[in-house]
Amino acid sequence: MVDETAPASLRATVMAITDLNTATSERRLGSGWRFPLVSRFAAVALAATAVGVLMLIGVGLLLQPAPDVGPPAPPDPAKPSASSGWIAYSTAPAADYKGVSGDAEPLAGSDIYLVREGEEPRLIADRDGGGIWNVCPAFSPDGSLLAFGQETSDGEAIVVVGIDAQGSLTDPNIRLPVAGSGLAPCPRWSSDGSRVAYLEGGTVVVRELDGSSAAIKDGDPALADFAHNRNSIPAPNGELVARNVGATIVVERADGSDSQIVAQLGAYALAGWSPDSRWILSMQDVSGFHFTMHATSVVEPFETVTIVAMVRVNHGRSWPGDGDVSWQPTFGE
Amino acid sequence: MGTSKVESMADRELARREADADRAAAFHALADRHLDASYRLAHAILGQRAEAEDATHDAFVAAWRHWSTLRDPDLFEHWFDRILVNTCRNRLRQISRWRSHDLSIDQRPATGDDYGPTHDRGLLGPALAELAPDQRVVLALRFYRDMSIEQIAARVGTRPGTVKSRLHRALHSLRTALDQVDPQRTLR
Repeated sequence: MVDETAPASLRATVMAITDLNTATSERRLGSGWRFPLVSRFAAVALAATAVGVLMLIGVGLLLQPAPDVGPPAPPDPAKPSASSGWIAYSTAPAADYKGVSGDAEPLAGSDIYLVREGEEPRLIADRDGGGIWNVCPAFSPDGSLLAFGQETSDGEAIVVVGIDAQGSLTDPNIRLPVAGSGLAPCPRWSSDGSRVAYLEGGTVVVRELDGSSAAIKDGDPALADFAHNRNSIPAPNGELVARNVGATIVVERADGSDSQIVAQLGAYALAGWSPDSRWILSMQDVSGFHFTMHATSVVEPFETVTIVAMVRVNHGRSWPGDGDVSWQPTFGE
Repeated sequence: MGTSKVESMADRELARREADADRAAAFHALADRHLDASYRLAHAILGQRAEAEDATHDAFVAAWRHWSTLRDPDLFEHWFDRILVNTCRNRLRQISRWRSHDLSIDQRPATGDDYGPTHDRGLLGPALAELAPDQRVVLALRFYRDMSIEQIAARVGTRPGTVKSRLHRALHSLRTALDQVDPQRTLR
């Protein structure tokens, strides 16, 4: 066995981890103002100084007369929880939930949850002990409906449910059976939110919400809308593109210019953008069988926040697959 | 707004700080105890000091972030090994992705074993670099951590049969690579 001790520099930075709120090294996009990439050593020095300053401030505050504590501050509109609605996610990748994961104790079935920063995930669709696969959530354009694919012993279907502003289930609750293909369908919405579409044998099929079939018309999803490149995702506003390059998230203009690293999370895959094009979702593989979802801002105040941590997945190989996350458009707009 | 409310806020703040201090102390103690072994394992998997340092650091960052999910400190080694192995495996996958995008040969990771005999560095390194990430992981756990098949299976979260299969393929690939370079085994 190799006999080697960790370098002293590594030991120092590991011991300093508890002093840092985040150990990621990040550059930020926006206003042409860029932080230099912070090395581990500089981060330790900065953190030590910051801790010392904060301790002095804390002591000073304790010695001050009792302040008049006013009402709680209103939510910060820049935070994902306040500005961009609920995030729906599935615990299995839509395109690959039947593959062999190598997990000694694989979970069968998959759930769909809603979450947003600072709140616990809410179960929307249950896997019923392993008998149901719920995948590929997709919010309607106005954010009031959530569609997802479902596979049960009765066959495959698209399910459409109502979601209120508090993230609770409401009417309607519609189940649209589809032709069996071996995998639950991955739904997409028409631009007016009145129809859903899915792929059947490589062809786009459109259904009204009453279940009837419909001819394709303007505003319906096209074949390209079902493609999902987890390593390159354009922002909804069409101005930016997020790319996963190695362990970094890179954001650049749509023409490829002004490319900047915005986060180094060891992210395994990009999941999507917020509807307002201010935040990027990524899903970090933590243990091989759990992911942690982060949101990284591309506008001020620049930061990375954890949306949900250590989600157990039934499958450790490939998430997000083809649309396992959907960020609700701001509710009510 | 009275003094009592301020005092309770200060108490909560102190309690939070005490809890945070306890967490940090526990993390420091465990990290200090396991750092060398973790670094050695990362080095065995990744084959480069710089990559091993980064992976080890990243794994400890992930462990600190998810500290609340460690239910029993006695299980730290098992729990952290999963995170470390996964971090290393993801790094190997990223390196593979970079290589598949036609990076110059200079950017390929040097995977020579810094502790092996000098004449083996040029042979084993490239052969190791060609192994799939999952194969390198089980190889490192088997020969650098002296783990049994069952222990390896528990660490990577797979079945013992899968571990045996990966080890067999990894060793076969290494033998084939070494035979091609040194068919007469003159350097052994």
